[in-house]
Amino acid sequence: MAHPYGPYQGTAASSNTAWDSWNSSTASSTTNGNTWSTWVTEDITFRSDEASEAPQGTWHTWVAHYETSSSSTDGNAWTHWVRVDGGDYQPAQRENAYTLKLGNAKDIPVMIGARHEQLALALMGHLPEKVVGNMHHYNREEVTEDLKAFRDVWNERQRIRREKKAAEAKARAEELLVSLLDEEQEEEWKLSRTVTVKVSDVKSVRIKEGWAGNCEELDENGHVIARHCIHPSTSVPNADNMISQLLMLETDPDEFFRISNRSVVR
Amino acid sequence: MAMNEMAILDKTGDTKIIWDPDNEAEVENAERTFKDLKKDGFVAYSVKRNGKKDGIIHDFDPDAGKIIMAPRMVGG
Repeated sequence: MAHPYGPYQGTAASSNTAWDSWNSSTASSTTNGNTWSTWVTEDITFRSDEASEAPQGTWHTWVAHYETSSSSTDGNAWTHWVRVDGGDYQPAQRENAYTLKLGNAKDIPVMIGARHEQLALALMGHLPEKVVGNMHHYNREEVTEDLKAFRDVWNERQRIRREKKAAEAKARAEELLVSLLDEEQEEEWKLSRTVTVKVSDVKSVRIKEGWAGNCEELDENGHVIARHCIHPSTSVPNADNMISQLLMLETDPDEFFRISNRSVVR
Repeated sequence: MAMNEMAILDKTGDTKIIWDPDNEAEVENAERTFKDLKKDGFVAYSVKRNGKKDGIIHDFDPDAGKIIMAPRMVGG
């Protein structure tokens, strides 16, 4: 379970397992044994007080600090993560401890320390630019390198996700297209990725795989005499475009020719 | 009774809505979706289970078998 709050943006809470409202410039305290006892902020990152092992396993005091963060041992809070100077972060060990939560990026296996996370959030457009402006005292070169690594991971994952979705959509659309073809059309599709529709005794339209200008008007001898440009008003896979063209040609060809832009082939 | 199906063409390929014509709630849901899409300019094509196209339909038919909802077409 992801932790229910972001590290710098306040989430009002009154239950004994959650936060009171807080943000990077204010401190708020709780008195409940299951929540934080005292927060002190003096910057945009935090670490715990060295003597933070409260009797009930929660934090006493957090102090904003550049380098380190540590966690309590309470099951509902942080477990342990410390940034060693110049080294890597150790992420929380418990599954219900801190999880990086950037929209739908919660599954990214990148744990970023407080200051980096703040920058990562800014990078992803989640925080205003002025927050970035407060980071002047950090080692910008180091932070930039870390963020580049984070951004590379993020971009690569997004690219893979986009490609996977597109491939799934393409396969799904093609499956539906084939289900609408007669035997002859299906054979043609397998051979040439085109589908031909006979619209009159002397005219056929060959639909090629594509989006725009992909419909060829053929005469009775199979010669291309014109191209038609017509497609759905919303973005769909190419095979869905072909389905729309096919259905229109087979059920309402006059409307197809009325809407399409026709270019004569000489 | 065989299930009926509405395939809505979209960026995922298509989204399918399936209903049992004897199930009032399922029919209502399918009909509401059909009407909403028609309002958005979608064209509804009735298709038999063997792939034969019946043509454009303007009203929801719970016994249609298969309906393809295609976005409005525009000239390119």
